[in-house]
Amino acid sequence: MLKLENVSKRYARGNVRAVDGLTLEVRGGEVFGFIGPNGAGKTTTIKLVTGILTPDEGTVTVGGAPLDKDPIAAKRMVGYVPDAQDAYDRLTGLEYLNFMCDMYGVSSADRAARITSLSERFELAAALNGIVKGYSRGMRQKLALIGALAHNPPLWILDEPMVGLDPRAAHVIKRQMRAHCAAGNTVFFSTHVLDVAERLCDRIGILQKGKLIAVGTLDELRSGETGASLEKVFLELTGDEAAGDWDE
Amino acid sequence: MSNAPFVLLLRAQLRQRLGLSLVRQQLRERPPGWWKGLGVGAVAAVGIGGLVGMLVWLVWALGRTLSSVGIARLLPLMGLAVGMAGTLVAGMGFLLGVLYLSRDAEALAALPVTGRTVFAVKISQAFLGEAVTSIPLTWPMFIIYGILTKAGAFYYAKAFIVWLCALSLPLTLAALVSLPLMRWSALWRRRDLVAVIGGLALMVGFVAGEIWLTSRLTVLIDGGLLLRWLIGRVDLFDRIARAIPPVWLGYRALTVGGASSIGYLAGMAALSGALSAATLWLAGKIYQAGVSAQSESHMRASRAVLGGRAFRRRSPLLAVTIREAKLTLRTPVYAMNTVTIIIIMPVMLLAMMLVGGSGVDPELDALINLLTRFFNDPWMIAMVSAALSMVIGCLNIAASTSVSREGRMYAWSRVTPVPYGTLAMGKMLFSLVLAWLLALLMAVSLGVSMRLPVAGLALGFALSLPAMVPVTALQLAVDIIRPKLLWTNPIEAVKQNMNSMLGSLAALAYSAILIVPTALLLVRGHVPARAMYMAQCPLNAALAAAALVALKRRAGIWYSRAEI
Repeated sequence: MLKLENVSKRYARGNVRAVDGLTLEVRGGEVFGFIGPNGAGKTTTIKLVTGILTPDEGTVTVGGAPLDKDPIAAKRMVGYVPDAQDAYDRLTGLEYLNFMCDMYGVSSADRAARITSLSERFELAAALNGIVKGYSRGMRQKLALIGALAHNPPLWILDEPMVGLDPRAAHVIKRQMRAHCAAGNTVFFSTHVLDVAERLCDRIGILQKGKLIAVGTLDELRSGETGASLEKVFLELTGDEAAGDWDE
Repeated sequence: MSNAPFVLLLRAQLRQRLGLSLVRQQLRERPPGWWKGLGVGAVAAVGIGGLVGMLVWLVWALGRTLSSVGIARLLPLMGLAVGMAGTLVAGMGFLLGVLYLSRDAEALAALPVTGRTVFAVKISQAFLGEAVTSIPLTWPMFIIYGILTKAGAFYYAKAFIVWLCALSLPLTLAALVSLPLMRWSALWRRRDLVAVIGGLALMVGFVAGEIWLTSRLTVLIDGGLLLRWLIGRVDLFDRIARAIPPVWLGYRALTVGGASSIGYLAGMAALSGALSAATLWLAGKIYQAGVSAQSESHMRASRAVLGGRAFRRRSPLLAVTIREAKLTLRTPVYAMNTVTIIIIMPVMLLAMMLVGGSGVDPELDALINLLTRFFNDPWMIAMVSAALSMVIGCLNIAASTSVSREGRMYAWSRVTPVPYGTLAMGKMLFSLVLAWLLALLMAVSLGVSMRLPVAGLALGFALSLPAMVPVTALQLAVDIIRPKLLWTNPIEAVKQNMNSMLGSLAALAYSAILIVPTALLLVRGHVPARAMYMAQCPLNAALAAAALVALKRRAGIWYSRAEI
């Protein structure tokens, strides 16, 4: 569903190689978690996959459509939730969702059904006529989630989706991610919450200094260490020498 | 360097606003393409330098003429009036932006500094910003008056203090008015609407008042007549200046000699200080409440009605256009900086007629009649009004800040499966509607204020429709090529965005290429106005079509180069 081949990105102003020769394939029907320390290149990778940034080298393919050659077809398959809860804050929630649906060419009937269903599931229906500026952080996150799902994308990309959500909303989104995959779709998300990654992901990729240092199922990452937590695996792989000191 | 909270906060805010740390880092590390910013700055400097040079030359010519008949003292009076009016009008939008709509408002509120300190830091930024704008409006007249009267260093020292006060007074007045406005608007659910309408009403009121006070200074085209008119009314200028105490004090401080000028200077400084103190006092009472109220939630308690027309489908082009309109009109800073130009110019023309123009002064009436006789040909009126709309349209920053206004939301332009050309056309359509509205309002106000025939104005409006397209496209292209996307305060996206200046310069250059040869052919070549109009229509239509096609095609390349 999503394929990155030798993708690199250097930020011109900082002279920093944020993503370095990244090769990765995310298969259809799986939840793929992307973890790594701060500044590892997770958000840059997601921006490269969604077309916000253009790779200096390498190619990104979404559902067989190369992002550089057929960007419209590739983007049409993606539903993206950014990390900053940014939304057009002078629009109402409903105006925002309608705008997103217009951009993705969702019919009136389909958008009515999906927006109604999703807004009730995320308990946002009562606030949809309010201006986004007045929304709380969690409400903005819910709005972005609904906007990204309204066109029922085969690939759902989320950057730190649990940030700012209350426990109930976090539970709803985790269920939604699993349900999305169960319907044959793919979820690709980044997170710092290792418990979430451990419980939710079919496979996990660990990124450090722009390079993918490990990828696989949790068992594969444990590489024989029976019962080791993802946290321990993560700390060992990312070279935290203090990991042992914190071990229970 | 002082460690007072005011100084520390001001320094940090200026570094952020002016990007000083980034400039230092770029000069130190010299990453690829670092020199491009210098190139853009040089182009802007040359463009502005040309305009300022032209202004200085005009003021010099005017100054010598006034000096030859012994009324050179009108120069500093004009400098003061123009500078203060400009600061008042431009400062209103600026102040609303920095005082109330910054994204750092909540972070600053959490700092252990008083609301009054934050207010003082914010208004200082407005002061510095407006000072840059005020220099070319005020100093040429002050300096040329000094040269003509062979004034010494004492005069220039006084002029500097008068200039500082002339900046401070309108800004503190605007702040004083905006403090209760924003506190009051916070009590309303639709507070942005109240702020937009209130701000525009204040601005229009200020401009109308200014025109009323200086109504005898309306534009005249005949040099000899202007001079005779001025000589006959020197006392009137004194009376007008006396009606506005700060202008009178500054005017007298610069034009009378000896110790009495010190008295006027002290009076102006005291007035400025008193108004600043009153504003700071009021700010200490209500500023923080006004700021925090802007971010308060006003949710509707009732459940959204989800059905029927709520889910109407639109094309991406129309969706982008409607989004642009809603975001611009609902954001006070954007509304005031883009809609203002559409409203202010026609209001000024109408105010001239209503408060001081025709019917009030027989000589002014005679001049308007002279103008009307000169433009008795409807085809000539059509071309002059279309050219006027074009030139004023060049000053509108709706298109030249269209992409910058998106800020961090620009990322969505990259994510959505809509061709970049369509996104550009959506923005173009909204900006074009504003440009056409401007042309329509100009035609109406010209008709009402100067009693020009409707037929000529209608023809002029028709010509404006295609003529405005390349002007708007050029302005938009500048902002698509190099959008300013990282800002904490929406005012940075509009007024403190070099694109607004570059866009205006590009559009003015295009307009000059089109208008100057046309004017020469009409006046010197004696080409009949009707024939020229008939030639202009297909020419402008072709240029409009070419501009749209070029913008749509190139937008894809420009959009894909910009990154956030």
